Amino acid sequence: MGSLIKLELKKMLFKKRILIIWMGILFLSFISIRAFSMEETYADLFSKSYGLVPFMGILMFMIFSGAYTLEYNSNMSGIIKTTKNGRKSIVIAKSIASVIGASILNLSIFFTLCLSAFTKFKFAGLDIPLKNLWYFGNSESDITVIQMILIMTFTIVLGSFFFAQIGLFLSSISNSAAIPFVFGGLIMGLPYILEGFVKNMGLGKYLGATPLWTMMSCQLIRYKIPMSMIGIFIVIFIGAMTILPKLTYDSFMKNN
Amino acid sequence: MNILEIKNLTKTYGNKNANDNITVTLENGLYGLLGPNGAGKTTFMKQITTLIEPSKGEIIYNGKNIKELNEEYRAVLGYLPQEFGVYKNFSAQQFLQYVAALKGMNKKQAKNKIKELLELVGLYEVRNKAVDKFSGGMKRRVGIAQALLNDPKILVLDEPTAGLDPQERARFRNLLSQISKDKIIILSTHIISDIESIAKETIMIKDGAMLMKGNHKEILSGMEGKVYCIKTSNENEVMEIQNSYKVVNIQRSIDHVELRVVSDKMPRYENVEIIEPKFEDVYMFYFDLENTREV
Repeated sequence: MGSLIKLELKKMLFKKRILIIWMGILFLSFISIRAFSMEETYADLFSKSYGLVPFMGILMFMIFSGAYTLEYNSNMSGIIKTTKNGRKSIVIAKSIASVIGASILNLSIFFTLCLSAFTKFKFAGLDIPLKNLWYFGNSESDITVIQMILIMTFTIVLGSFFFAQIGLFLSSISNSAAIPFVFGGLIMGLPYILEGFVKNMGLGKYLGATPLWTMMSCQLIRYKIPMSMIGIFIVIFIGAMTILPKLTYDSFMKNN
Repeated sequence: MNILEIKNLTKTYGNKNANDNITVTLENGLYGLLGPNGAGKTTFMKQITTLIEPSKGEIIYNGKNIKELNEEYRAVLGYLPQEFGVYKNFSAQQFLQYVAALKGMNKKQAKNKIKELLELVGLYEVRNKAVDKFSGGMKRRVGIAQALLNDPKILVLDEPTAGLDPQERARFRNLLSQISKDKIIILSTHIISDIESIAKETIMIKDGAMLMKGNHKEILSGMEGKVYCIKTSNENEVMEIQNSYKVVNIQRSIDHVELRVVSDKMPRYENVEIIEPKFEDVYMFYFDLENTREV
Protein backbone atom coordinates (compact mmCIF):
# COMPACT_ATOMS: atom_id res chain seq x y z
CA MET A 1 0.00 0.00 0.00
CA GLY A 2 2.87 2.38 0.86
CA SER A 3 4.44 2.06 -2.61
CA LEU A 4 1.06 2.44 -4.26
CA ILE A 5 0.33 5.67 -2.35
CA LYS A 6 3.82 7.00 -3.12
CA LEU A 7 3.48 6.29 -6.83
CA GLU A 8 -0.07 7.64 -6.95
CA LEU A 9 1.23 10.81 -5.32
CA LYS A 10 3.99 11.07 -7.88
CA LYS A 11 1.52 10.47 -10.69
CA MET A 12 -0.78 13.27 -9.62
CA LEU A 13 1.67 15.81 -8.23
CA PHE A 14 4.81 15.64 -10.33
CA LYS A 15 3.43 17.01 -13.54
CA LYS A 16 5.13 19.90 -15.25
CA ARG A 17 2.05 22.13 -15.32
CA ILE A 18 1.23 21.45 -11.65
CA LEU A 19 4.79 22.18 -10.57
CA ILE A 20 4.95 25.41 -12.58
CA ILE A 21 1.63 26.73 -11.23
CA TRP A 22 2.55 25.62 -7.71
CA MET A 23 5.89 27.45 -7.80
CA GLY A 24 4.14 30.52 -9.22
CA ILE A 25 1.60 30.53 -6.39
CA LEU A 26 4.30 30.05 -3.77
CA PHE A 27 6.15 33.04 -5.18
CA LEU A 28 2.95 35.07 -5.19
CA SER A 29 2.26 34.01 -1.60
CA PHE A 30 5.69 35.12 -0.47
CA ILE A 31 5.59 38.53 -2.08
CA SER A 32 1.98 39.22 -1.14
CA ILE A 33 2.88 39.82 2.52
CA ARG A 34 4.24 43.29 2.96
CA ALA A 35 6.18 44.77 5.86
CA PHE A 36 3.85 46.96 7.87
CA SER A 37 3.71 47.02 11.65
CA MET A 38 3.75 43.60 13.30
CA GLU A 39 -0.02 43.58 13.98
CA GLU A 40 -0.80 44.83 10.49
CA THR A 41 1.44 42.23 8.88
CA TYR A 42 0.04 39.35 10.93
CA ALA A 43 -3.49 40.47 10.13
CA ASP A 44 -2.46 40.62 6.50
CA LEU A 45 -1.23 37.02 6.80
CA PHE A 46 -4.72 35.75 7.67
CA SER A 47 -6.37 38.03 5.17
CA LYS A 48 -4.11 36.80 2.38
CA SER A 49 -4.41 33.17 3.40
CA TYR A 50 -8.14 33.39 2.74
CA GLY A 51 -7.58 35.59 -0.29
CA LEU A 52 -5.40 32.94 -1.91
CA VAL A 53 -8.08 30.26 -1.58
CA PRO A 54 -8.97 30.33 -5.31
CA PHE A 55 -5.38 29.37 -6.13
CA MET A 56 -5.50 26.53 -3.63
CA GLY A 57 -8.72 25.37 -5.28
CA ILE A 58 -7.24 25.49 -8.76
CA LEU A 59 -4.23 23.46 -7.71
CA MET A 60 -6.24 20.95 -5.70
CA PHE A 61 -8.81 20.26 -8.37
CA MET A 62 -6.09 20.04 -10.98
CA ILE A 63 -4.70 17.03 -9.13
CA PHE A 64 -8.06 15.50 -8.18
CA SER A 65 -9.75 15.87 -11.54
CA GLY A 66 -7.35 13.60 -13.40
CA ALA A 67 -7.21 10.89 -10.74
CA TYR A 68 -9.71 8.60 -12.45
CA THR A 69 -10.26 10.28 -15.82
CA LEU A 70 -6.60 9.62 -16.62
CA GLU A 71 -7.11 5.89 -16.02
CA TYR A 72 -10.28 5.83 -18.12
CA ASN A 73 -8.84 7.77 -21.02
CA SER A 74 -5.60 5.80 -21.14
CA ASN A 75 -7.42 2.48 -20.71
CA MET A 76 -5.18 1.82 -17.73
CA SER A 77 -8.30 1.10 -15.71
CA GLY A 78 -8.46 -2.27 -17.51
CA ILE A 79 -4.97 -3.18 -16.37
CA ILE A 80 -5.54 -1.79 -12.87
CA LYS A 81 -8.79 -3.63 -12.24
CA THR A 82 -7.34 -6.99 -13.21
CA THR A 83 -4.66 -6.77 -10.52
CA LYS A 84 -4.81 -7.96 -6.93
CA ASN A 85 -4.83 -4.46 -5.44
CA GLY A 86 -6.59 -2.85 -8.37
CA ARG A 87 -10.00 -2.41 -6.79
CA LYS A 88 -10.55 -1.39 -3.16
CA SER A 89 -6.86 -0.83 -2.45
CA ILE A 90 -6.36 1.49 -5.40
CA VAL A 91 -9.39 3.57 -4.42
CA ILE A 92 -7.99 3.86 -0.89
CA ALA A 93 -4.49 4.61 -2.22
CA LYS A 94 -5.80 7.33 -4.52
CA SER A 95 -7.77 8.80 -1.67
CA ILE A 96 -4.82 8.90 0.72
CA ALA A 97 -2.47 10.20 -1.98
CA SER A 98 -4.96 12.94 -2.86
CA VAL A 99 -5.28 14.01 0.76
CA ILE A 100 -1.51 14.06 1.17
CA GLY A 101 -1.06 15.87 -2.15
CA ALA A 102 -3.71 18.48 -1.43
CA SER A 103 -2.42 19.00 2.11
CA ILE A 104 1.12 19.49 0.83
CA LEU A 105 -0.05 22.03 -1.75
CA ASN A 106 -2.33 23.96 0.59
CA LEU A 107 -0.03 23.92 3.58
CA SER A 108 2.94 24.93 1.45
CA ILE A 109 1.02 28.02 0.33
CA PHE A 110 -0.13 28.78 3.88
CA PHE A 111 3.30 28.21 5.41
CA THR A 112 4.94 30.36 2.74
CA LEU A 113 2.63 33.19 3.80
CA CYS A 114 3.50 32.53 7.44
CA LEU A 115 7.19 32.39 6.70
CA SER A 116 7.03 35.61 4.72
CA ALA A 117 5.24 37.35 7.60
CA PHE A 118 7.22 35.90 10.51
CA THR A 119 10.66 36.41 8.99
CA LYS A 120 9.93 40.11 8.74
CA PHE A 121 9.86 40.23 12.56
CA LYS A 122 12.26 37.37 13.30
CA PHE A 123 9.40 35.24 14.55
CA ALA A 124 8.51 37.72 17.30
CA GLY A 125 4.99 38.43 18.48
CA LEU A 126 3.51 35.01 17.82
CA ASP A 127 1.66 35.25 21.11
CA ILE A 128 -0.31 38.34 20.10
CA PRO A 129 -4.02 37.67 20.63
CA LEU A 130 -6.13 37.75 17.49
CA LYS A 131 -8.35 40.50 18.93
CA ASN A 132 -5.39 42.87 18.44
CA LEU A 133 -5.35 42.24 14.68
CA TRP A 134 -7.68 44.26 12.47
CA TYR A 135 -8.68 41.15 10.55
CA PHE A 136 -10.22 39.71 13.70
CA GLY A 137 -11.37 43.13 15.01
CA ASN A 138 -14.81 42.18 16.24
CA SER A 139 -14.05 38.64 17.29
CA GLU A 140 -12.68 39.49 20.74
CA SER A 141 -10.73 36.27 20.46
CA ASP A 142 -7.94 35.53 22.89
CA ILE A 143 -6.49 32.88 20.62
CA THR A 144 -2.92 33.82 19.78
CA VAL A 145 -1.39 34.03 16.33
CA ILE A 146 0.59 30.82 16.73
CA GLN A 147 -2.47 28.98 18.08
CA MET A 148 -4.47 30.11 15.08
CA ILE A 149 -1.69 28.91 12.78
CA LEU A 150 -1.79 25.49 14.43
CA ILE A 151 -5.59 25.34 14.26
CA MET A 152 -5.48 26.30 10.59
CA THR A 153 -2.82 23.68 9.88
CA PHE A 154 -5.23 21.08 11.24
CA THR A 155 -8.31 22.44 9.47
CA ILE A 156 -6.46 22.81 6.15
CA VAL A 157 -5.64 19.09 6.31
CA LEU A 158 -9.26 18.40 7.24
CA GLY A 159 -10.52 20.52 4.35
CA SER A 160 -8.08 18.87 1.96
CA PHE A 161 -9.50 15.52 3.07
CA PHE A 162 -13.03 16.69 2.36
CA PHE A 163 -12.30 18.25 -1.02
CA ALA A 164 -10.20 15.24 -2.04
CA GLN A 165 -13.21 12.95 -1.61
CA ILE A 166 -15.41 15.31 -3.60
CA GLY A 167 -12.80 15.69 -6.36
CA LEU A 168 -12.15 11.95 -6.57
CA PHE A 169 -15.84 11.14 -6.73
CA LEU A 170 -16.41 13.69 -9.50
CA SER A 171 -13.38 12.33 -11.36
CA SER A 172 -14.65 8.76 -11.02
CA ILE A 173 -17.98 9.62 -12.66
CA SER A 174 -16.50 11.69 -15.48
CA ASN A 175 -14.63 10.91 -18.63
CA SER A 176 -13.22 14.38 -18.96
CA ALA A 177 -11.06 16.07 -16.32
CA ALA A 178 -12.81 19.37 -17.05
CA ILE A 179 -16.03 18.26 -15.31
CA PRO A 180 -14.56 17.49 -11.87
CA PHE A 181 -12.36 20.57 -12.17
CA VAL A 182 -15.27 22.93 -12.84
CA PHE A 183 -17.87 21.35 -10.54
CA GLY A 184 -15.40 20.61 -7.74
CA GLY A 185 -14.11 24.15 -8.02
CA LEU A 186 -17.64 25.47 -7.78
CA ILE A 187 -18.45 23.40 -4.69
CA MET A 188 -15.37 24.77 -3.04
CA GLY A 189 -15.58 28.30 -4.38
CA LEU A 190 -19.26 29.18 -4.05
CA PRO A 191 -19.01 30.39 -0.43
CA TYR A 192 -16.07 32.55 -1.52
CA ILE A 193 -17.88 33.99 -4.51
CA LEU A 194 -21.22 34.45 -2.80
CA GLU A 195 -19.89 35.63 0.55
CA GLY A 196 -21.03 39.24 0.15
CA PHE A 197 -24.43 38.24 -1.18
CA VAL A 198 -25.05 35.72 1.62
CA LYS A 199 -24.00 38.22 4.29
CA ASN A 200 -26.27 40.90 2.85
CA MET A 201 -29.14 38.47 3.21
CA GLY A 202 -28.22 38.08 6.87
CA LEU A 203 -27.29 34.45 6.42
CA GLY A 204 -23.57 34.91 7.02
CA LYS A 205 -23.42 32.45 9.90
CA TYR A 206 -24.38 29.61 7.56
CA LEU A 207 -21.11 30.06 5.73
CA GLY A 208 -19.57 28.50 8.82
CA ALA A 209 -21.08 25.17 7.87
CA THR A 210 -19.30 25.16 4.50
CA PRO A 211 -16.15 23.10 3.99
CA LEU A 212 -14.27 26.15 2.71
CA TRP A 213 -14.76 28.13 5.90
CA THR A 214 -13.94 25.14 8.05
CA MET A 215 -10.76 24.65 6.07
CA MET A 216 -9.85 28.31 6.43
CA SER A 217 -10.85 28.37 10.09
CA CYS A 218 -9.68 31.97 10.59
CA GLN A 219 -13.04 32.86 9.03
CA LEU A 220 -14.88 31.00 11.79
CA ILE A 221 -13.07 33.05 14.42
CA ARG A 222 -13.32 36.32 12.53
CA TYR A 223 -17.09 36.12 12.21
CA LYS A 224 -17.69 34.37 15.57
CA ILE A 225 -19.47 31.50 13.87
CA PRO A 226 -21.67 29.63 16.40
CA MET A 227 -20.70 26.11 17.42
CA SER A 228 -23.97 24.82 15.96
CA MET A 229 -22.69 25.63 12.45
CA ILE A 230 -19.46 23.80 13.11
CA GLY A 231 -21.59 20.92 14.38
CA ILE A 232 -23.53 20.93 11.11
CA PHE A 233 -20.27 20.81 9.17
CA ILE A 234 -19.08 17.86 11.26
CA VAL A 235 -22.27 15.99 10.35
CA ILE A 236 -21.79 16.88 6.66
CA PHE A 237 -18.14 15.82 6.90
CA ILE A 238 -18.89 12.44 8.46
CA GLY A 239 -21.71 11.80 5.96
CA ALA A 240 -19.55 12.72 2.97
CA MET A 241 -16.60 10.70 4.20
CA THR A 242 -18.82 7.67 4.62
CA ILE A 243 -20.69 7.90 1.34
CA LEU A 244 -18.26 9.44 -1.17
CA PRO A 245 -15.51 6.77 -1.10
CA LYS A 246 -18.14 4.08 -1.61
CA LEU A 247 -19.71 5.97 -4.51
CA THR A 248 -16.25 6.53 -5.98
CA TYR A 249 -15.49 2.82 -5.77
CA ASP A 250 -18.81 1.92 -7.41
CA SER A 251 -18.29 4.40 -10.26
CA PHE A 252 -14.75 3.18 -10.84
CA MET A 253 -15.89 -0.42 -10.98
CA LYS A 254 -18.76 0.38 -13.33
CA ASN A 255 -16.64 2.28 -15.84
CA ASN A 256 -15.45 -0.06 -18.57
CA MET B 1 -1.83 -27.82 -13.79
CA ASN B 2 -4.16 -24.85 -14.31
CA ILE B 3 -7.66 -25.48 -15.55
CA LEU B 4 -10.03 -22.75 -16.63
CA GLU B 5 -13.53 -23.97 -17.31
CA ILE B 6 -15.78 -21.58 -19.16
CA LYS B 7 -19.38 -22.72 -18.96
CA ASN B 8 -22.23 -21.32 -21.06
CA LEU B 9 -20.68 -17.87 -21.02
CA THR B 10 -23.14 -15.30 -22.29
CA LYS B 11 -22.90 -11.53 -22.26
CA THR B 12 -25.90 -9.57 -23.39
CA TYR B 13 -26.04 -5.86 -24.16
CA GLY B 14 -29.65 -4.85 -24.72
CA ASN B 15 -30.94 -7.55 -27.00
CA LYS B 16 -27.57 -8.33 -28.58
CA ASN B 17 -25.46 -11.21 -27.42
CA ALA B 18 -21.83 -10.12 -27.45
CA ASN B 19 -20.96 -13.64 -26.28
CA ASP B 20 -23.39 -16.44 -26.78
CA ASN B 21 -23.24 -19.58 -24.70
CA ILE B 22 -19.51 -20.23 -24.99
CA THR B 23 -18.36 -23.41 -23.30
CA VAL B 24 -14.71 -24.31 -23.39
CA THR B 25 -12.09 -25.78 -21.07
CA LEU B 26 -8.56 -24.43 -21.16
CA GLU B 27 -5.47 -26.08 -19.70
CA ASN B 28 -1.81 -25.06 -19.67
CA GLY B 29 -0.71 -23.91 -23.08
CA LEU B 30 -1.28 -21.12 -25.54
CA TYR B 31 -4.70 -20.63 -27.10
CA GLY B 32 -5.13 -18.43 -30.10
CA LEU B 33 -8.35 -16.47 -30.22
CA LEU B 34 -9.34 -15.74 -33.76
CA GLY B 35 -12.25 -13.80 -35.11
CA PRO B 36 -13.11 -10.66 -37.02
CA ASN B 37 -13.59 -7.28 -35.38
CA GLY B 38 -16.79 -7.21 -33.37
CA ALA B 39 -16.93 -11.01 -33.11
CA GLY B 40 -16.88 -10.85 -29.31
CA LYS B 41 -13.23 -11.67 -28.59
CA THR B 42 -12.63 -8.66 -26.37
CA THR B 43 -15.88 -9.27 -24.45
CA PHE B 44 -14.80 -12.87 -23.96
CA MET B 45 -11.41 -11.80 -22.64
CA LYS B 46 -12.88 -9.09 -20.43
CA GLN B 47 -15.04 -11.70 -18.75
CA ILE B 48 -12.06 -13.97 -18.19
CA THR B 49 -10.17 -11.03 -16.69
CA THR B 50 -13.17 -10.12 -14.46
CA LEU B 51 -13.51 -6.70 -16.09
CA ILE B 52 -17.11 -7.45 -16.97
CA GLU B 53 -19.52 -9.89 -15.40
CA PRO B 54 -21.23 -12.52 -17.53
CA SER B 55 -24.98 -12.17 -18.04
CA LYS B 56 -25.17 -15.96 -17.82
CA GLY B 57 -22.74 -18.77 -17.24
CA GLU B 58 -19.65 -19.00 -15.10
CA ILE B 59 -15.89 -19.25 -15.18
CA ILE B 60 -14.24 -21.81 -12.94
CA TYR B 61 -10.53 -21.71 -12.13
CA ASN B 62 -9.12 -24.90 -10.64
CA GLY B 63 -12.56 -25.89 -9.38
CA LYS B 64 -13.58 -22.53 -7.93
CA ASN B 65 -15.73 -19.78 -9.39
CA ILE B 66 -13.53 -16.79 -10.21
CA LYS B 67 -16.09 -14.44 -8.70
CA GLU B 68 -15.65 -16.13 -5.36
CA LEU B 69 -11.89 -16.32 -5.74
CA ASN B 70 -11.84 -12.54 -6.30
CA GLU B 71 -8.39 -11.19 -5.30
CA GLU B 72 -6.94 -14.68 -5.24
CA TYR B 73 -7.83 -15.08 -8.91
CA ARG B 74 -6.58 -11.65 -9.90
CA ALA B 75 -3.28 -12.45 -8.16
CA VAL B 76 -2.62 -15.11 -10.82
CA LEU B 77 -3.88 -13.02 -13.72
CA GLY B 78 -1.88 -11.05 -16.27
CA TYR B 79 -3.63 -8.85 -18.80
CA LEU B 80 -2.57 -6.71 -21.70
CA PRO B 81 -5.47 -4.79 -23.26
CA GLN B 82 -5.61 -3.94 -26.92
CA GLU B 83 -4.69 -0.34 -26.27
CA PHE B 84 -3.40 1.35 -23.20
CA GLY B 85 -1.91 4.74 -22.54
CA VAL B 86 0.97 5.59 -20.30
CA TYR B 87 1.55 8.10 -17.59
CA LYS B 88 3.49 11.01 -19.03
CA ASN B 89 5.61 11.55 -15.94
CA PHE B 90 6.57 7.89 -15.45
CA SER B 91 9.66 6.15 -16.77
CA ALA B 92 9.42 2.52 -17.88
CA GLN B 93 10.84 1.42 -14.56
CA GLN B 94 8.45 3.57 -12.53
CA PHE B 95 5.51 2.37 -14.59
CA LEU B 96 6.44 -1.23 -13.84
CA GLN B 97 6.97 -0.37 -10.17
CA TYR B 98 3.45 1.03 -10.12
CA VAL B 99 1.95 -2.09 -11.68
CA ALA B 100 4.04 -4.25 -9.33
CA ALA B 101 2.54 -2.37 -6.38
CA LEU B 102 -0.92 -2.95 -7.85
CA LYS B 103 -0.08 -6.62 -8.11
CA GLY B 104 0.88 -6.69 -4.45
CA MET B 105 4.55 -7.49 -4.99
CA ASN B 106 7.01 -6.45 -2.33
CA LYS B 107 9.78 -4.01 -3.21
CA LYS B 108 12.64 -6.50 -3.43
CA GLN B 109 10.64 -9.02 -5.40
CA ALA B 110 9.46 -6.26 -7.75
CA LYS B 111 12.93 -4.82 -8.25
CA ASN B 112 14.39 -8.13 -9.39
CA LYS B 113 11.43 -9.01 -11.58
CA ILE B 114 11.36 -5.58 -13.23
CA LYS B 115 15.05 -5.83 -14.10
CA GLU B 116 14.55 -9.33 -15.49
CA LEU B 117 11.56 -8.31 -17.60
CA LEU B 118 13.09 -5.07 -18.87
CA GLU B 119 16.04 -7.12 -20.09
CA LEU B 120 13.71 -9.69 -21.58
CA VAL B 121 11.79 -7.12 -23.60
CA GLY B 122 14.97 -5.24 -24.49
CA LEU B 123 14.20 -2.03 -22.64
CA TYR B 124 16.66 -2.17 -19.77
CA GLU B 125 18.96 0.44 -21.32
CA VAL B 126 16.10 2.93 -21.61
CA ARG B 127 14.44 2.07 -18.29
CA ASN B 128 14.73 5.62 -16.97
CA LYS B 129 13.34 7.25 -20.09
CA ALA B 130 9.74 8.53 -19.97
CA VAL B 131 7.41 5.91 -21.45
CA ASP B 132 5.60 8.73 -23.20
CA LYS B 133 8.67 9.21 -25.42
CA PHE B 134 8.72 5.53 -26.47
CA SER B 135 7.70 4.33 -29.92
CA GLY B 136 4.49 2.31 -30.29
CA GLY B 137 6.43 -0.96 -30.34
CA MET B 138 8.41 -0.04 -27.23
CA LYS B 139 5.21 0.89 -25.38
CA ARG B 140 3.78 -2.46 -26.38
CA ARG B 141 6.84 -4.16 -24.92
CA VAL B 142 6.31 -2.28 -21.66
CA GLY B 143 2.74 -3.56 -21.75
CA ILE B 144 3.94 -7.12 -22.22
CA ALA B 145 6.38 -6.72 -19.32
CA GLN B 146 3.67 -5.44 -16.98
CA ALA B 147 1.44 -8.39 -17.84
CA LEU B 148 4.22 -10.80 -16.89
CA LEU B 149 5.25 -9.08 -13.65
CA ASN B 150 3.41 -11.36 -11.25
CA ASP B 151 4.37 -14.51 -13.15
CA PRO B 152 0.69 -15.06 -13.99
CA LYS B 153 -0.93 -18.47 -14.29
CA ILE B 154 -3.49 -17.02 -16.67
CA LEU B 155 -2.22 -14.56 -19.21
CA VAL B 156 -4.68 -12.74 -21.45
CA LEU B 157 -3.20 -10.79 -24.32
CA ASP B 158 -5.35 -8.70 -26.62
CA GLU B 159 -3.45 -8.13 -29.85
CA PRO B 160 -0.06 -8.00 -28.16
CA THR B 161 1.98 -7.93 -31.35
CA ALA B 162 0.18 -5.02 -32.99
CA GLY B 163 2.77 -2.36 -33.70
CA LEU B 164 5.75 -4.64 -33.23
CA ASP B 165 8.23 -5.07 -36.08
CA PRO B 166 8.88 -8.62 -37.43
CA GLN B 167 11.95 -9.06 -35.26
CA GLU B 168 10.11 -8.02 -32.12
CA ARG B 169 7.20 -10.25 -33.04
CA ALA B 170 9.46 -13.26 -33.48
CA ARG B 171 11.10 -12.51 -30.16
CA PHE B 172 7.72 -12.18 -28.48
CA ARG B 173 6.45 -15.43 -30.00
CA ASN B 174 9.51 -17.25 -28.71
CA LEU B 175 8.96 -15.78 -25.28
CA LEU B 176 5.33 -16.91 -25.20
CA SER B 177 6.29 -20.40 -26.37
CA GLN B 178 8.83 -20.55 -23.61
CA ILE B 179 6.49 -19.53 -20.80
CA SER B 180 3.33 -21.31 -21.96
CA LYS B 181 4.32 -24.62 -20.38
CA ASP B 182 2.97 -23.85 -16.95
CA LYS B 183 0.28 -21.29 -17.67
CA ILE B 184 -2.82 -20.68 -19.71
CA ILE B 185 -2.20 -18.03 -22.32
CA ILE B 186 -5.06 -16.60 -24.32
CA LEU B 187 -3.84 -14.63 -27.27
CA SER B 188 -6.18 -12.64 -29.45
CA THR B 189 -4.79 -11.46 -32.74
CA HIS B 190 -5.51 -10.82 -36.38
CA ILE B 191 -1.99 -11.83 -37.24
CA ILE B 192 -2.59 -15.43 -38.16
CA SER B 193 1.06 -16.33 -38.42
CA ASP B 194 1.45 -15.53 -34.69
CA ILE B 195 -1.16 -18.11 -33.78
CA GLU B 196 -0.10 -20.60 -36.42
CA SER B 197 3.42 -20.84 -35.12
CA ILE B 198 2.86 -21.06 -31.38
CA ALA B 199 -0.73 -21.83 -30.40
CA LYS B 200 -1.56 -25.21 -28.93
CA GLU B 201 -5.15 -24.74 -30.01
CA THR B 202 -7.15 -22.09 -31.76
CA ILE B 203 -10.57 -20.87 -30.69
CA MET B 204 -12.54 -19.24 -33.45
CA ILE B 205 -15.30 -16.82 -32.52
CA LYS B 206 -17.92 -15.48 -34.86
CA ASP B 207 -20.96 -13.38 -33.97
CA GLY B 208 -20.29 -13.91 -30.27
CA ALA B 209 -20.39 -17.69 -30.45
CA MET B 210 -17.59 -20.23 -30.59
CA LEU B 211 -17.27 -21.42 -34.14
CA MET B 212 -14.67 -24.10 -33.49
CA LYS B 213 -11.82 -25.08 -31.25
CA GLY B 214 -8.99 -27.38 -32.10
CA ASN B 215 -5.33 -27.77 -32.87
CA HIS B 216 -4.02 -26.81 -36.28
CA LYS B 217 -4.25 -30.31 -37.66
CA GLU B 218 -7.91 -30.60 -36.67
CA ILE B 219 -8.79 -27.17 -38.00
CA LEU B 220 -6.89 -27.68 -41.24
CA SER B 221 -8.42 -31.13 -41.78
CA GLY B 222 -11.80 -29.40 -41.98
CA MET B 223 -10.45 -27.37 -44.86
CA GLU B 224 -9.35 -30.34 -46.97
CA GLY B 225 -10.73 -30.02 -50.46
CA LYS B 226 -11.83 -26.44 -49.95
CA VAL B 227 -8.71 -24.60 -51.12
CA TYR B 228 -8.04 -24.24 -54.83
CA CYS B 229 -5.47 -22.80 -57.13
CA ILE B 230 -6.90 -21.34 -60.32
CA LYS B 231 -4.48 -20.50 -63.13
CA THR B 232 -5.60 -18.15 -65.84
CA SER B 233 -4.18 -15.67 -68.28
CA ASN B 234 -7.47 -13.91 -68.82
CA GLU B 235 -7.75 -10.68 -66.84
CA ASN B 236 -11.53 -10.65 -67.14
CA GLU B 237 -11.58 -14.07 -65.53
CA VAL B 238 -9.42 -12.78 -62.67
CA MET B 239 -12.00 -10.08 -62.01
CA GLU B 240 -14.82 -12.59 -62.22
CA ILE B 241 -13.16 -14.97 -59.75
CA GLN B 242 -12.54 -12.14 -57.32
CA ASN B 243 -16.19 -11.19 -57.46
CA SER B 244 -17.44 -14.76 -57.04
CA TYR B 245 -15.05 -16.33 -54.52
CA LYS B 246 -13.02 -15.58 -51.45
CA VAL B 247 -9.55 -15.06 -52.89
CA VAL B 248 -6.74 -15.52 -50.38
CA ASN B 249 -3.91 -14.61 -52.66
CA ILE B 250 -3.19 -13.47 -56.22
CA GLN B 251 0.21 -14.21 -57.69
CA ARG B 252 1.12 -12.74 -61.06
CA SER B 253 3.69 -14.30 -63.39
CA ILE B 254 4.76 -13.10 -66.85
CA ASP B 255 2.21 -15.17 -68.73
CA HIS B 256 -0.45 -16.10 -66.19
CA VAL B 257 -2.11 -15.33 -62.86
CA GLU B 258 -2.52 -17.80 -59.99
CA LEU B 259 -5.40 -17.27 -57.60
CA ARG B 260 -5.65 -19.02 -54.26
CA VAL B 261 -9.35 -19.49 -53.57
CA VAL B 262 -11.34 -20.92 -50.66
CA SER B 263 -14.74 -22.33 -51.46
CA ASP B 264 -17.18 -25.04 -50.42
CA LYS B 265 -17.61 -26.04 -54.04
CA MET B 266 -14.98 -26.55 -56.69
CA PRO B 267 -14.81 -23.47 -58.94
CA ARG B 268 -15.72 -24.23 -62.55
CA TYR B 269 -12.69 -23.05 -64.45
CA GLU B 270 -10.36 -24.76 -66.83
CA ASN B 271 -7.21 -24.81 -64.80
CA VAL B 272 -8.23 -25.57 -61.23
CA GLU B 273 -6.49 -27.81 -58.74
CA ILE B 274 -7.09 -28.66 -55.10
CA ILE B 275 -4.18 -27.59 -52.93
CA GLU B 276 -3.07 -28.09 -49.30
CA PRO B 277 -4.88 -25.73 -46.92
CA LYS B 278 -2.95 -23.24 -44.84
CA PHE B 279 -4.07 -21.52 -41.70
CA GLU B 280 -4.78 -18.25 -43.42
CA ASP B 281 -7.24 -20.09 -45.67
CA VAL B 282 -9.25 -21.03 -42.60
CA TYR B 283 -9.63 -17.42 -41.59
CA MET B 284 -10.61 -16.41 -45.11
CA PHE B 285 -13.05 -19.25 -45.36
CA TYR B 286 -14.94 -18.41 -42.20
CA PHE B 287 -14.51 -14.68 -42.04
CA ASP B 288 -14.65 -11.81 -44.47
CA LEU B 289 -11.66 -10.41 -46.29
CA GLU B 290 -11.88 -6.96 -44.71
CA ASN B 291 -11.28 -8.48 -41.31
CA THR B 292 -7.93 -9.97 -42.22
CA ARG B 293 -5.35 -7.40 -41.30
CA GLU B 294 -2.27 -9.39 -42.00
CA VAL B 295 -1.58 -13.00 -42.77
